[in-house]
Amino acid sequence: MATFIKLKNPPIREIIFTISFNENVPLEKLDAFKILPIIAEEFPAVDKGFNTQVVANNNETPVSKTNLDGYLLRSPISVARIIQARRGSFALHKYNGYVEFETLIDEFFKYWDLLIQCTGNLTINNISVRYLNFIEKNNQEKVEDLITVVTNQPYGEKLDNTFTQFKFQYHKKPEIAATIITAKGRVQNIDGIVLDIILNTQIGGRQEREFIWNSFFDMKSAKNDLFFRSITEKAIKKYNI
Amino acid sequence: MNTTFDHIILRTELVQSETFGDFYEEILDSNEGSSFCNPLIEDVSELLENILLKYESLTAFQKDVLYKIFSEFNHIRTTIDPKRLKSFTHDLNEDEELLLFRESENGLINIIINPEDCIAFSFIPNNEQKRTFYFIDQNGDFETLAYNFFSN
Repeated sequence: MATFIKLKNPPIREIIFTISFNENVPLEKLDAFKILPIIAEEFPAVDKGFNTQVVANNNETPVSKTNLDGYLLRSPISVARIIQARRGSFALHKYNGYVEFETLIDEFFKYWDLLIQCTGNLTINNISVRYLNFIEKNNQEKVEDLITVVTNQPYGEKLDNTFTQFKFQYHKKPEIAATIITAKGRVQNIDGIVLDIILNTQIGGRQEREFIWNSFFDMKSAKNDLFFRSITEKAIKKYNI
Repeated sequence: MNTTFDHIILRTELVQSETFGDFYEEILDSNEGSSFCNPLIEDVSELLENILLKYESLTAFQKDVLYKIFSEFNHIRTTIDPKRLKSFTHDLNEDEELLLFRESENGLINIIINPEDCIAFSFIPNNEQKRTFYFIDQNGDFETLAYNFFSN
């Protein structure tokens, strides 16, 4: 476990904030959201997320059934943000570069407020914070040199990939459900370890903005704590140059 | 028997990453890994298959209704929000009725599929919420049924 420090070059590759809600928002409301001037300007590329299923009933000929799966709204590459607007959840992704939590949460709520202008009030049932880190590993380094989450195995170092999942209630705030994934493999031709920290908090009756906001900040503290528990001092040095 | 959607929800969540979605797809869909090595290969259709295999005496009506219900579960996973799915239990009672049920902090939620011609939904609250009970037929509104099943 490493001590808490603000890294100069954090290995964060992607950050995702998500709000899930009870209502099933009609697609027309998501259409209204995506054409709001500020959204259309900042997220000019729209992917319609279609999903196709093949359905066969009894002895009938299988037919394909296509559903519209909400929208993926993409900013220009230089800004590297994605809004994922689905009928039951709303997410903001930041990839290709680190942005401070405080900056990104402000942005997230700016877009959330625009969404609920289109949909009316939504009843939040879950909020989620996800930090995807990629810790590069050279040939001289072992996995245990870089992360503290290590599974003993008898198969040697030359594994094509590994995948480990830990799921637990965060001890300092049991309302936060934590899932930590570590996966060893090659990403964009670089060897390394994905350290994926996924935190969820279920929201019951309390819907006030301050409560939701504070719950996000509780998860910020939790992800910092869990991140530094998961990496070694050697990894800290690697990303603090 | 308990059926969990945890793996399906997690898998859906993991591959949503812009940066590592393909990486996770590759790891989780690798043909080289046998199923027992991979905790995340299950999907909704496999859960349906498990139920069909477990209860060999299901009638054509019950199977048809199950297909429709699971199709709506899959629709919730892909279109609405995978986090809506919650674990549930299934059983075949002495009257050969297939029961899908879950116990939440608010009460007991049941879908009862009769062998011949009837599907019932019930929510029995353990607090002051309103009790719900209704029947639907084979051509009824399975979308609402699925939402109701996971809503409490």
